[in-house]
Amino acid sequence: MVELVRLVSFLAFLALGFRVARLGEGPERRRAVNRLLAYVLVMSGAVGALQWDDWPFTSHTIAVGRARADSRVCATELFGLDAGDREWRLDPYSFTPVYDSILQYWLEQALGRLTEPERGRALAFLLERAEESRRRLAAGGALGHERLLGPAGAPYWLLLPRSPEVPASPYAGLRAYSTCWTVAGGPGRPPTRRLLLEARR
Amino acid sequence: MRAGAAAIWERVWFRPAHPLCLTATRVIVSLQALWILLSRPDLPDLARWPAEFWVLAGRALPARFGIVGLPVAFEQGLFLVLHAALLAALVGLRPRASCFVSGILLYHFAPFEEAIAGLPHTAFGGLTVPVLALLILSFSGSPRWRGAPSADYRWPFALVQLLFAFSYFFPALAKLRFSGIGWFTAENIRYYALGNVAVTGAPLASWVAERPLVCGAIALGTLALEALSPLVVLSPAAAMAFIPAALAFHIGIVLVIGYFFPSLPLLLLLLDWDAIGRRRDPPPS
Repeated sequence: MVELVRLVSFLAFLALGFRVARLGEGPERRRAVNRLLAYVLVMSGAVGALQWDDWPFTSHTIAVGRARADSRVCATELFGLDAGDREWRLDPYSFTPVYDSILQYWLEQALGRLTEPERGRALAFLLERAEESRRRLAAGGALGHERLLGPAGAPYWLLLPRSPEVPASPYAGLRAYSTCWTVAGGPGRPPTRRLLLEARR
Repeated sequence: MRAGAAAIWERVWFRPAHPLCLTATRVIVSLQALWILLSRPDLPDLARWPAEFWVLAGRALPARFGIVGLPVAFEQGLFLVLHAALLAALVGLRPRASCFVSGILLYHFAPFEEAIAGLPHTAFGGLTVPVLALLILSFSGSPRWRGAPSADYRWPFALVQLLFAFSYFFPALAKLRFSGIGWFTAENIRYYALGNVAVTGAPLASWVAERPLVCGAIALGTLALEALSPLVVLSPAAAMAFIPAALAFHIGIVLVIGYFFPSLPLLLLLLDWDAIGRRRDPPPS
């Protein structure tokens, strides 16, 4: 229902715009333009003030929390496993078009909702995607935003460190750890780390 | 009071503007969209991802954007059409039609990058302003080359500028709502830098975190830049001052917390295109 309301809000924007496009110069067109302007301002103002996202009318909500010394920071780190069980940190663009941080969120929130067979299919797919990216990197190719434009490509907004090194042989498995630390503790101290998933061919 | 408000409304939206305002807007948003799309060549590939990955998004959210399980080849075809439409919009070929097709297809493809997680940061993908701007341009009149200044060239230009300014102004509202004025303090900036350094490895995070005065300046600068951003629509001088300040702001964010702003080239929208056009085409004496 909520998504339907959001769709209707976008369709209303289109309808008001079509009305402007249809009319020739004159007072009626000016009224139609005023209605379109008012609609965009009200929609944008409402989502901005209420923080109720209705993309492409959006609240631009990011980094709004207050950071403290005891704020807990968590990350899910994904590794490919070679035949000798050595872990290779996966590049954040390994699953392009889905970026590492989005996949992290998905793994944390969605894995527990899947049945065992569904989970197996999802992880097998991710392993296959990681292997495709390994092959591309091993052949000297680029991933994600660098694939066509090289360094001139637009990166994803969260600039995670790149991990271009890959093994020469195919990945035999995937492993993910959930790692947490506090801001005050910092990355220098040993963080808490737990195995989130492991999948093998 | 009411007459005053009407006069401001008239001045902001309908004072005659040079046709270059619309041409520049169309070129800038088309180039921005092409840059993002060429940086995301694998977007249509999401159609290949198994059904399991849609467990969080459900069916309604993707359906809102026309993500309804179309075959990969079809999505790839649409993706090519989108590139062609943007190229046509860029060079002014059937501008209203090409802008409309571009806007609608961007509405379809922009959410692909984050759809499986429910669009947490799609607003920051660099396509939000182009989607709305291209559609607004498709509604407004096509500018005539070296035509006379007109209100029809002002309102779409000013509206797109304002939508871009909202990407600064609304984050300030969000910070005030969720954290209060305490967000804009040296201590908060210090802990943001320290909290992100292990995630992004931002090169100046530790250096900034150790300097309370620098943290305080960043906090106050952020508040001033974000809160004053809507002025760019009211005053070309404010817009011109905003550009270098925003540029420094975004470079600082990359260096201190490691967040990139993919809409950075859209700062070009804030140049005084009306004055540039009038200088280029002075009225006959």
